[in-house]
Amino acid sequence: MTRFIACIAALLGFAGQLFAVTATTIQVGTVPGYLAVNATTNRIYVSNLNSNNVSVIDGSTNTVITTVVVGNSPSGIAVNPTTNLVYVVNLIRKQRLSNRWQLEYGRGNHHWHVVSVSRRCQHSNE
Amino acid sequence: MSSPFLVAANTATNRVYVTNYNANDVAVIDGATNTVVATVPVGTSPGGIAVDTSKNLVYVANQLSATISVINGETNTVARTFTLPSSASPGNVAVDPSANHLFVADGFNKVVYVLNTSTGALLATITGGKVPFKGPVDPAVFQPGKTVLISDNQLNAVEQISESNFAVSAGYKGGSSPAGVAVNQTTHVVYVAEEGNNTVIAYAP
Repeated sequence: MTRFIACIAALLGFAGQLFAVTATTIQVGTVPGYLAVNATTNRIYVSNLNSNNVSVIDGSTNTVITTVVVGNSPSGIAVNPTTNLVYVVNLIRKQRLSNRWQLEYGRGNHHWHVVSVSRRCQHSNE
Repeated sequence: MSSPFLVAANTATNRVYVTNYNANDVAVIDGATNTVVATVPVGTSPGGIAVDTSKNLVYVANQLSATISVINGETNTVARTFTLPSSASPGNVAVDPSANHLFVADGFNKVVYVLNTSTGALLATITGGKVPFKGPVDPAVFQPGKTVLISDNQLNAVEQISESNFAVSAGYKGGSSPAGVAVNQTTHVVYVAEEGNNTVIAYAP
């Protein structure tokens, strides 16, 4: 995974830009749809819909420090800063969990597991 | 835009909420055991979801029934249902408890609705600033009680909405199909997922 691409300093009062900001562009996976911020650890989690993974950004350096492979078509993503668990919705089921939507979660960068979420309220851990 | 099948976490109660777009319900997951502890029936095609941790309320946008279900996190039941205009197609939502505002993006109608979180009253239907919205996607609270950001994947911009008069002003430009927006309330850095060029842009103050 390509990690860091470019840093662009936006000028104060730049036309059409309201805020005085520094904009940093970070290359992530394919079709990044949603993000979640853990303000406690300053980590940002990005769900990449078409590359089936989550980019983990270190907010202090604005670089991708790791990429976590998850289920198919990760979409919505949320983090609980208290428990440091990240929850990722996978839109397309895995074969072994057919007919169930599923939600993955991981503590930090490791040990990702699956909770399936279906209309029948079934669930299982992987 | 990806299928609106989304997730939100309540850090105070350690509950996680997932909208089941095709099943018309919301799964409630206990974060301690990571098991589904309840399934709450809501409106038709629920997508956008946001949690007010302070009040333990969950706001769910029902895309095809043009309503917002308000789930009581203590009882796992729908406490209120807010009605949007019948033509509405609500997508992603953001709640700002400090202003009692719920922001609802409607990319189909190219507007952002603002509701009073206590009464459900429609406070504003925002059509944009100098340039009208073309595809509002994801609202996010920027400065609690003051400003909310909204990404627009057709304007290729993230704009700012005032919470005092709901006026829209320029925010960040230059992205490519911006989708998700998130704010680190500690560092005040804004992160925007750019679906069009596979990047995240971090805007530091």
